[in-house]
Amino acid sequence: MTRGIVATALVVFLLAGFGGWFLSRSSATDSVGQTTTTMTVTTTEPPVAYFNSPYETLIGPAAVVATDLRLDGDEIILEFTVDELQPVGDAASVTRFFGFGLVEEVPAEELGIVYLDAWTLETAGDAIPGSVATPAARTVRFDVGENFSEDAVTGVRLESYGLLVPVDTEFTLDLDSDTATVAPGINARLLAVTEQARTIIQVELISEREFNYDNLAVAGVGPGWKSAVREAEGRPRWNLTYDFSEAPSPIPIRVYGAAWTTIESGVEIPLEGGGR
Amino acid sequence: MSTPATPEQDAAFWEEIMRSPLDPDPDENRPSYLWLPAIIAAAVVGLLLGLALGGPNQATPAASDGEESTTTTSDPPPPPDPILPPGYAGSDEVGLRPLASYTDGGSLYLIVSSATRSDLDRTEIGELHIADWTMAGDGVENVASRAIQSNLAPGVRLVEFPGVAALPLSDPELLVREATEMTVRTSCNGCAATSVDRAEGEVVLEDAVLPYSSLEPLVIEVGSGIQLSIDEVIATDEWGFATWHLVDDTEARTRVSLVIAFEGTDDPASEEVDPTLLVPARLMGPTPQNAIAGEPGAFTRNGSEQLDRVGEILSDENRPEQIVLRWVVEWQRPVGDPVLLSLEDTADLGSTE
Repeated sequence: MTRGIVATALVVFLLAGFGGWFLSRSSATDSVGQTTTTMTVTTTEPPVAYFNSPYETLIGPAAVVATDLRLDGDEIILEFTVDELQPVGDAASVTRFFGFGLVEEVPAEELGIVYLDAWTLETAGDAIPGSVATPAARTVRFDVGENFSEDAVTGVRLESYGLLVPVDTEFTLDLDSDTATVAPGINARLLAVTEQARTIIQVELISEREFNYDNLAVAGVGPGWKSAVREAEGRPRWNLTYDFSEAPSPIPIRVYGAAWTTIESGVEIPLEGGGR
Repeated sequence: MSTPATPEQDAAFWEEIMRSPLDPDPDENRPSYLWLPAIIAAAVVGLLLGLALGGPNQATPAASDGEESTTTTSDPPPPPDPILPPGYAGSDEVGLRPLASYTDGGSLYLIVSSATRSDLDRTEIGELHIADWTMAGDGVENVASRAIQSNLAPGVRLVEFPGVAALPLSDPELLVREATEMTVRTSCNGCAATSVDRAEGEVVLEDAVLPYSSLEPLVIEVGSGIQLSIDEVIATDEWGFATWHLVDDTEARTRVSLVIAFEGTDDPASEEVDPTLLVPARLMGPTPQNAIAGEPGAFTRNGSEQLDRVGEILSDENRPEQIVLRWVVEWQRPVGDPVLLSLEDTADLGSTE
């Protein structure tokens, strides 16, 4: 009986082997001698380019992504990133004086020129404003009150942004406590004139954004002026020394540096980048 | 302890030992199911071996008998086309876009920002330097007097158009031309003047005594066809003031720095060399009283310089032997064809007044 099993197994082995060989040959080529086509699958459409994220929105010279949206007590908190795009390969670093002898050299790529300041949280029946405290902050808070559900949020809009814009302007101030425009959102006011051997003139800058003052300098224009000195208390007041006993009339003033300028945007910021 | 075998067990033992292989199998008549797995195993092994021998790896090369195997490949997707943000145009690597405009003091100002191409590292790419800004529309062209820059706001420029009250209503556009490359060569003895875009020199103010006021303009041949007229120079112990303009008819725009050196001055009570100079006040800082570090200033056709003292205070024991005016001039010229930037989507910030 064992010999019978061996013989049967041998026959089955041979038949199965032939069948397998035939099947594989049939599937490899439809027919012997026929030229087959080599198929190359090519993606002709390149993917859409972006700067840092497929969910980014381009605001001025920056790519903005909403990264987190959450309810915290009576507030909805939105976090976002800002990647600025301006070239800085040949831009100078900036020396910053912080008082008490502390001086820091800030690389150009860390200066920051885009400030996403005014936002709106949208729900089915309401629009809730929110703002960002400083140019370096990356969080906006919306006061939504009690019993608010995060699911009620239908979107967020960036209503306007601030761009740090160079300033170098000359104007005159009349001696009767005149006010003049420096740049959009910034004014200068004559505070005091003290005429003695040298005349001391005090000028104040006025801006809703007080961090503008650290980016601006005030000077007199023409012969007779020495460098202005800002008050030590940190107030936006500059004392100018005019090397004559009488003040010029009107008083020529120059303000230079950079100031945050508001530009309307009204852009929906998608929440798919992590904001939702 | 083992038990002794019975006579029947001994007989069976010897029968098994003595049996020939040709004798009939004593188990032949017993039922057995060993054949089933053996047949299945043979079928499986045979099928697999047949598939392996006949598969694509064993296909006869097409070159030898005309057969070809079908091959399906997939190319990797091409990289994304690099982009500039919408509305930005300029060079191959950097684009410019006018974002907003406003009017102030009889001038129109354009806020222009720049952006680097999406596939480039912005910390390795330099700014697109522009030497000529022309605003066109309403059948009129206006050339900007200057593009204000600040080290605090890299990539942003405030372009001034004096005497322009508003953006053109029809087909407003901004035409920009790149500037000649800035190459600083401060030690360029023997270089041809036309190969540099920076020059420096000094002029002794003859018979000058403090306070000093120039009587007539001082014209300086800067080089490369540029003539600088220093119209007025005033110097005292503590401050100075000067005005200048270009008198040539080239397209060059310059950035001028002036220093008045009181040569021979030093503090007689100190061993340190500390001569007295009047230097540009815009370059002094930062200090607790002036948060702004030196600003580069714009390239223009005219300007002025406020000067402030550094070094020792002048006194009867510390008087200058002579007064020297030192000048440094950098210049740009427009090159190449103008690049058109649309002003259609420029935000109007209105008037500041």
